[in-house]
Amino acid sequence: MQLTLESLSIGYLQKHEDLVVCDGIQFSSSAGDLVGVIGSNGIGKSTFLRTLAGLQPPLKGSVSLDGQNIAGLSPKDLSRKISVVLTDPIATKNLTVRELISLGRQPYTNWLGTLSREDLTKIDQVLSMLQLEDIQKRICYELSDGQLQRVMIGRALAQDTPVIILDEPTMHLDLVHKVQLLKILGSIASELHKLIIFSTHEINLAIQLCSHLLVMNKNGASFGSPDALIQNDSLQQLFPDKEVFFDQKSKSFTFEAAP
Amino acid sequence: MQTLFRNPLAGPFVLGISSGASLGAAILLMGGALVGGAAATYFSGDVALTIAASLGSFLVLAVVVYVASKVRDTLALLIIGLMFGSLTAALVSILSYFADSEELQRFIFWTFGSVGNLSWSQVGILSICVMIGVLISIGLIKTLNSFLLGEQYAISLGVSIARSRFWIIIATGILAGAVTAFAGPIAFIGLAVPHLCRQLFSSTDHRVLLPAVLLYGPILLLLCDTVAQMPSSAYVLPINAITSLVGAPIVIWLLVRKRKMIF
Repeated sequence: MQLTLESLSIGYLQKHEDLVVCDGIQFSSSAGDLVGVIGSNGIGKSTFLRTLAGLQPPLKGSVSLDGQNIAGLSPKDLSRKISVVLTDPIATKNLTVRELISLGRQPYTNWLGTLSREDLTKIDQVLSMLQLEDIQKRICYELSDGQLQRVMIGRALAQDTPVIILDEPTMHLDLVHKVQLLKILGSIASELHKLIIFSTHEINLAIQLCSHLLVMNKNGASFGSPDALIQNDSLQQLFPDKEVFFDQKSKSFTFEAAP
Repeated sequence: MQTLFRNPLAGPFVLGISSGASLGAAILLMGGALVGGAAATYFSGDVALTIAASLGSFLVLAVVVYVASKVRDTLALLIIGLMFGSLTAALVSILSYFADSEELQRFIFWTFGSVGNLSWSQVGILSICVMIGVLISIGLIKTLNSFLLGEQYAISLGVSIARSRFWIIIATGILAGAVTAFAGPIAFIGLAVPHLCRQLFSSTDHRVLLPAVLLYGPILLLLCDTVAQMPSSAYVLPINAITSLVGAPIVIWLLVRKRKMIF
């Protein structure tokens, strides 16, 4: 499975002039990769991920899976290729963990949404993989942020798509849970052979744990392995205002202590 | 509707859908004064009343859905629903001002709501409409379940939002319109019953909720009607008074609980 972006331009269609958020994003990535999307606030990470997921149309260029443009896929076909975990809160939290994860099986169920034996096995697999068995009967509004985030990942995993896209999955989590979550994503990518693309503000963690990074800044976006991006100075350009800077030795961002 | 609007307080009455149906009915029952008497008597058949009320509810529902896609705020949507209620009420009162006393009386009695006094042919029309509405709703069960996650997730699960919205509006319009045409604008049942069912079955799955609501709605309404008829007395209270007495406390209770936004 190969995801290819060709001179992708993202933004919003407006009456007079299109609002271009980012231009000329181009890369190719395949199953098993864990891709972190980093960039400062308001640079367009969410817009990028939404475009990638087919939730909004690109202004120019294309996103294709194995050579097939996703714009040409029916909603149903697309739902079997790409699943998402978004920052929007879910409309109701009055669902049990198991019910919520079961909703991920919708692209495969019949017109009434009846779960087949295969669906049930898949749900059980997801529950055990994410260690959610103990809380599967709990209702979502009782869960902590970390647990809920794992459940939402479970829902995406139950959708059984080759590509999973997550918008800031580490938001609201403490350091331990952030690391745990990113490790889970890493193991999903490598063990289940899926392509995972997520945005994050945890740049230092992303450098250590991701196989590839997409660095978005005002002039465009650069893609590559963390080491390659450190070599070619892309990371240094991430925050141009010198408030924080990239330290080559420790491979992390740092700042000068107040005098 | 509560699922579509992501709003625990959505219901035909609160969002002004019933008011829309009233407006349709009012134009039909009393608009004769404006158009000319002969036309009114010709058009005031049962089918016409159903169509008028359905059209009224469609119209308001379509506008509310459009506005709801612009504002994401729960409270704003409720206020908009209230405003539509007031707007249609104002139009209705203008109509009543010009109507003669007989037409006005007919309309007033209609607004009290009643589940009796229907001929078999009227019951026939109502059944057909309810059947159509329920069949569409059954077809929407899976879609509605995906809406529980929110629109963006529904899209990613392969749901076409525009098409689903359209069918939800059609089903709601037919159901609310037909029922309102024959029983009058009955308050709060539409809002309260889904919540009672969610409590009773502790489920948000529409495969459970739809049949549950279909059963418990009539049960609650008949209970209210029994109270309205006041056994062992000759008085018959307007059923709307009773349903409001039951329903209003439920709405208040929901608002108090709403801090958690559970529906």
